[in-house]
Amino acid sequence: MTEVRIENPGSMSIMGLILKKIVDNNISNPARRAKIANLDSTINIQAGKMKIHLVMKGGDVEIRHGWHANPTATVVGSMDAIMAVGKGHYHKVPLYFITRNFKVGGNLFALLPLMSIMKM
Amino acid sequence: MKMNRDAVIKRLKDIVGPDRVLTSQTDLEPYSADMTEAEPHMPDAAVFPLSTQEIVQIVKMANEEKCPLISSVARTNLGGLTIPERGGLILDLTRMRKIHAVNTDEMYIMIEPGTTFQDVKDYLETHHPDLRFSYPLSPPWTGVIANTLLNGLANLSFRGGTMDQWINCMEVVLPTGEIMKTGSAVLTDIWWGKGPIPDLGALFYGWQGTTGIVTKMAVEVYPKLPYNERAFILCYRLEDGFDLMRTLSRTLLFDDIGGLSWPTGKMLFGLRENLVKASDEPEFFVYIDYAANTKGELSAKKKVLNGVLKKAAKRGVEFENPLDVPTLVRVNPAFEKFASFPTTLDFLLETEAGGLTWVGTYGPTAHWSEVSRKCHAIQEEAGFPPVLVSRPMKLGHYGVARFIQIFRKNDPEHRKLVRQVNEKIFETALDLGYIPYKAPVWGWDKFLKRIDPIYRQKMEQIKKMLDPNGIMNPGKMRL
Repeated sequence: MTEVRIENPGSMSIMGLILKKIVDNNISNPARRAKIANLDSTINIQAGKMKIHLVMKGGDVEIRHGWHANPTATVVGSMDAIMAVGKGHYHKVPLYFITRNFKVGGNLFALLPLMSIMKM
Repeated sequence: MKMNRDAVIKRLKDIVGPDRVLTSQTDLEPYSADMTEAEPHMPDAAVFPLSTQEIVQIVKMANEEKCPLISSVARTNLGGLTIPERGGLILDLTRMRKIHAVNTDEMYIMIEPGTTFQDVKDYLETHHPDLRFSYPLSPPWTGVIANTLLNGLANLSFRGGTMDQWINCMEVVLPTGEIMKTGSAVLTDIWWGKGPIPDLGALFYGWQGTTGIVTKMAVEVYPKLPYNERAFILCYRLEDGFDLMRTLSRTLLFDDIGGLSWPTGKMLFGLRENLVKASDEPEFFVYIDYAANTKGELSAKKKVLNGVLKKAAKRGVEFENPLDVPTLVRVNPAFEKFASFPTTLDFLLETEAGGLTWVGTYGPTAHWSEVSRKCHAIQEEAGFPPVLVSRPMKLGHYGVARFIQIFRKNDPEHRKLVRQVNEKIFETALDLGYIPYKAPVWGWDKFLKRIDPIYRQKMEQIKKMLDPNGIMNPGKMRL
């Protein structure tokens, strides 16, 4: 069974706590859960000033504070930009790119499964 | 004051019948304490009156028997204000919760002392969906009149100030058993306002139940506009949050503006213990409510909000753009607690620790950051997370800073510690011009060291004049 864990929840930022809820909500859907079942990747995410990284391995997800030194991919955006992506407001994404409110890096293919567990 | 307990109970049963009088230790225990660290005191009996006339008879009897009378509803004031310092009789007003009328022309609701915020909400939603009331950040079963008389605040206090400002008229049973009205009700049957006459209603609000028992009150309600939005803004520093609240206040566009410190956010995710602020975590969350008659007006308000935020960002205020509450609720249903009021606040009330206490203060917004930083240092030094609830009041003329502590109620050492913390916060706040509301008895000891002596003398004279036998909630406010 897929599990979403947080390392030291009491000292995790609100961004990490929100993200855990989002991932929890998504992996209750078997189709979305299946998309991360075989992943072995680490994604750095920065929302506003808050930095976390997701370690996805064997179908489990762990959310840790701060950035990983060697991530598979990186997503940087304002909090509302990242929420807009989660809400499927993809029409807003080009504007966020133009205004530099949303940036991605690393292996972009690794981000595709992430989209399926970050839907709001 | 000495009373004959048996005689009081017998006479009480003669007035209301035996079924509405509690005398056993088990039944009386809940009235002896509240959620705070305040010392418990047992009452001698509790009674459930159903009418003003019954209260008149009880008050007359209490005067003859020299029996203390303590009015009580939900007992959630967090100041130990219904704990019977000197024993006596609890007037449990929870069964007097009739809503007498809503005057839609002058926009007021006439209620009894047991009427709760949930009662008012349900009533308005059913019978007058175009009207709304104001709800405090306290449980739905809290008594409206109690919060109003104790200078409490509610979510429309940003516009209207403390709830006592919304009182139109009252019916009060005086400590002598006389019935007095206040406001326009002394001259007309329409309870439309305080009226252009001396406001003798002020003899009863802010007095912690030491001058009379309010049995009926007309309090303002407001039009409910069809469109509304609520948003959260994460601010990286406390100072950023206060800056935004002050700036947004002055646009005059919003219905509510409030702020919460970072531990509250974690509590919404079910976390209670070992709360530590992440180094990159926003320190303060500002929430705003705005309502409009049309979608266009709502969108115009949003545009103004965004404009204010852009300017704030330019001058170095650090925050995230507004997050809409429906999205947050979808992610974490616990955010619903901030989506509609009144709310249960289970994250504060239903803890294993069992104790909840605070120092809530009103004071100058110019010192918001300083008072908060200093009081947070006191909280953290003692091992409490820096929980703060804040709000600009009356369009920003002053502000609220309420410091909340969850503590282990059954641990005497922790109770002692939390009292020390509260006392330090109380003094620190006073030093910076913040005056605690719903002040407990120990707080009044601190007030008395600073209060203007003539003012205090007049308070004592008024008390003596209204309550010559000193039966009304004796000991509170050191009266």
